[in-house]
Amino acid sequence: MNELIKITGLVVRFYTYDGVVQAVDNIDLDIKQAETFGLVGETGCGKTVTALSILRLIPSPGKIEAGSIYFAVNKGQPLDLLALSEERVRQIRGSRISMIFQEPSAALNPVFTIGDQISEVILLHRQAEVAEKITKAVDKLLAQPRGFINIVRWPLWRMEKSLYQKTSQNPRAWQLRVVHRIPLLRRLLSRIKDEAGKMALGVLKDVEIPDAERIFKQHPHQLSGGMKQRAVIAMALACSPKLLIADEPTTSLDVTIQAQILELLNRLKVDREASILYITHDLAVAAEICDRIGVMYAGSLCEVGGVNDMYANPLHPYTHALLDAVPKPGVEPRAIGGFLPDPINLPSGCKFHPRCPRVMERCREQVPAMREVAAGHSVWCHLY
Amino acid sequence: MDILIETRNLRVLFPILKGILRRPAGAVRAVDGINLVIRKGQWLGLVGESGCGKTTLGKTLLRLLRPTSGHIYFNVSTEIKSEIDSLEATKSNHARLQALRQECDLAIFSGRRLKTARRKMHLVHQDPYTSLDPRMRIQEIVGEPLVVHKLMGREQIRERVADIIKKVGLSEAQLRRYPHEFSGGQRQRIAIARALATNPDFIVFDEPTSSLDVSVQAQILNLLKELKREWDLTYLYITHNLTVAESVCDNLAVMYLGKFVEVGNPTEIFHTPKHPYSQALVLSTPKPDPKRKRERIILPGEVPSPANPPAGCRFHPRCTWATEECQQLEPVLEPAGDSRLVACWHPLN
Repeated sequence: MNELIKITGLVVRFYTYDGVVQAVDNIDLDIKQAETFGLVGETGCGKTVTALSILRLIPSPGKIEAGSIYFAVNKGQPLDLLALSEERVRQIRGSRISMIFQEPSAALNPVFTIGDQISEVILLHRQAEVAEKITKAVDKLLAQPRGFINIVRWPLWRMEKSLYQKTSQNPRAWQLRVVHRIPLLRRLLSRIKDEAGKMALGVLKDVEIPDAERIFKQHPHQLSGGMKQRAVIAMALACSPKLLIADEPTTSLDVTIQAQILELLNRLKVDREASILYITHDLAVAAEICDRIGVMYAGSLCEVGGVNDMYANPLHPYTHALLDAVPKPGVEPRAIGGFLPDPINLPSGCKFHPRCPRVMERCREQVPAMREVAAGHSVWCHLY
Repeated sequence: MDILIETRNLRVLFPILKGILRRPAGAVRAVDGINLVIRKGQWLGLVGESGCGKTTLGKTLLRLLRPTSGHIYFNVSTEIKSEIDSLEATKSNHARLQALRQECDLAIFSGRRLKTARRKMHLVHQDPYTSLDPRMRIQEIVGEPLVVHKLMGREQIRERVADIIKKVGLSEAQLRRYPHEFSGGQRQRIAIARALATNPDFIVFDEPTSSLDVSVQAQILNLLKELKREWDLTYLYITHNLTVAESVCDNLAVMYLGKFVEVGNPTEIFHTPKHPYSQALVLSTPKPDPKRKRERIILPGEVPSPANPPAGCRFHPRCTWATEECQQLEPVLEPAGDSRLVACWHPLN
């Protein structure tokens, strides 16, 4: 399998008033085509920051200091996302790579209907496709026998056709922008909205929303948490992205709804041959959906491996600790001793050493290097 | 073991007001005829999806909400309870019934009596980010219940707060800080400290760990266990995660649309669920075992609106085994096997 995303030596720092926070410290990671990669760790370990740097959305005062993120868009040479211009990144964001956020009610705009918000994505990234569809529709109208009323409409249709033909060839043609500015001509654009709406409805049906026509016209506050999350997923999938970043999409949902959403994501991944980067703090959820898992702690990776390998044979003491913390039937959950380190003054050597039950002298001084223990199962620990 | 809390046919309805005159046009039946028994020293888990009324039930037990009908007995002897029952059945001595209820039924308490009763019970909210006043220091937050109930002087309060805060695993030096300086897990510890301040007998936890990391959740659960042993507390633990309930609780009630569908030993419910809804909850709870992936049953749809619950068994539109009978007749909670109650026409296994 080929790599879709290849992150090498990524360093992200936040320059706060209290000092420099090393949010992501020299991470090497790759996500293969059509796989679900789980990024697991506690709050503040840098998993969201890693995901945001793929989209180049690190908020100020954060900065991507070093590293490269290669993204294999098409068959050709992979693109370095960190070297692209802001303009190019904006084209990729939301169309080739899109993101689902943790809190669906915060990700949706309360004053627009669900349909409007999904159409917006389609209009932004798939305008050429929309225009092409409209050209075909107008062609059909033009082919009609010309009755008395149609004689009046005919020149209008011709105008529309030429406009949309230009748009389908070049989505940012100047004609469209001009029409947008002139109030009287703006009614020519009503077809765009209708067509985008139709496509949005199709996307809504894809995410198994019951009664999609009704939901389409509703505002976010009228929907339950699970429905909102489905709408957000629909929005993220509107442009059939190659990579879907899901940042704890089920933490605010019930277990039954969580199971539905996980199943949906799994099905969409198979149907569309997309990859998913699934961020979670719960190893139990990760086991349900992921193919490979990377465990993060304080900005560094601890262990990366296939999901079966990882659960049958966890190597890093932190992975052990995380697995013990998950409540299991008949077993009392065991907490990890100590607290998360202060992100400004991280411990020297291996960052987990103050909380590690198997700490050695070497861990305090030396940063552990990656060691591949088995094929596809690597660990960053002095024990191996 | 003695019974600490008992409810009889507890109902909480929220009226839906319509029109200019705000006439009631129906009601949301949040809690609909619950008979609950919590024994002293018990850790009862209450499991269900959001919107099934579990938080409403928890708040009503503490009388933060006023029940529409039914009784709540908090630490009342069996004789008085049976006397109220017989008086109610015979409708003979109305004055005596009223006097007894004023004295013992938490459901109709008000004023000073309610305030005194509340000293013995407390609530820990779901989200520690919104349940703590950002303008108060930890000292004030934890000490506030003592001030409200006028239990002790200022010096004593300070000593007591310092004592409790150490019990929940924070240091005395942190008492002068504000809530925003703490992480989610630490904030939940502060909320627990506040709940312990008046030395209560009974604490309701409303999904205390759902906004926390799994690793922090384990810390909080261990803390609760320790405190319960040390202070001889009784817990009602509301959650939607059955695995959590199974690993810590010693009795479990599964709730659906304002009613209990299954009550019993958590381990038994977890391994051999008798109600299809409990089974669905068990199967949809994620487990840290990737090999289990393909054997899930996913519950379709969502919880119907409690304003207009389905006729017959409330679970029948989502149930795989629903029959004619389920659509027409509502099942009642009946004993099934030893120490288990199930409300289903066709119990599993």
